[in-house]
Amino acid sequence: MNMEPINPCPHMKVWLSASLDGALSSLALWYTQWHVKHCPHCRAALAALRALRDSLRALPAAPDRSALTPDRWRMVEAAWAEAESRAG
Amino acid sequence: MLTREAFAQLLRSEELALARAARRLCRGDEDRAQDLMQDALVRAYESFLAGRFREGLNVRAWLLRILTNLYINEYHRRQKWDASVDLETLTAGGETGPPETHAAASDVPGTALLAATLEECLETALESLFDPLRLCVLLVDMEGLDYAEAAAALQVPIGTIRSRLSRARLQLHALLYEYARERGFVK
Repeated sequence: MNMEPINPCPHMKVWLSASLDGALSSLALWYTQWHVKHCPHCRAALAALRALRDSLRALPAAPDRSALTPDRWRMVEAAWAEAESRAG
Repeated sequence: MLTREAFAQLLRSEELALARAARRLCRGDEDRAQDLMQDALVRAYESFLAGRFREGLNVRAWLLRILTNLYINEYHRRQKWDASVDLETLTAGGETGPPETHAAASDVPGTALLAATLEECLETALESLFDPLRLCVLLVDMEGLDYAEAAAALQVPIGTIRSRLSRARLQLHALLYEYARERGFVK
């Protein structure tokens, strides 16, 4: 990941981030792509944010261990049974 | 129509995903994460019995929504969730943000600054984010919810998810840069 500071244009911060998630309207996407093509700061920022997002996605899950303890599961199942009896 | 048994099985099949999210929400506090998971599973089953689960819904997103709501409610109870906080002012400095928006790397509890992996730095940076920003990253980047699902889970407009995610990512990058600089990886 590029560890240089990034300095995107203020008006582009939200759109750069949203473009990574495919969450822009077609017009906003077109403008973002056009802007990035012509603005080295935003181009660098987009690349850095993409790398960051990919690193977040790649973070390993918590250590492999069972989720709820058996005791907790017993309590959950008891609560489920109670809810069922209330629901009839 | 899903039977109760089938629905319970569906919940069990999402146990690990639920645990992963709960542990991250609770910043590794295992007891608290177990409480949260337990409550979420009970609440989910009660909702199903009350007919509030529609077949075809994304079960994981639905469960994460319940889990997140419980977490936020607990946060309210602990009086740490200040809904009136203006995120604009908290992040007025842009990607670096004012100092109060995040802990200094050296202040983050348990920060093993000698540990040199990106993963550790990223986990540390994530934990230091202001909670509303951290929840967006957790739900969208780590749990794969789309903006609409995350908005439903956090009960905020989609635009808020969009802007919080942007701020969160910029702050995370700034924090990672700070860690890298402290370790001498960059000047």
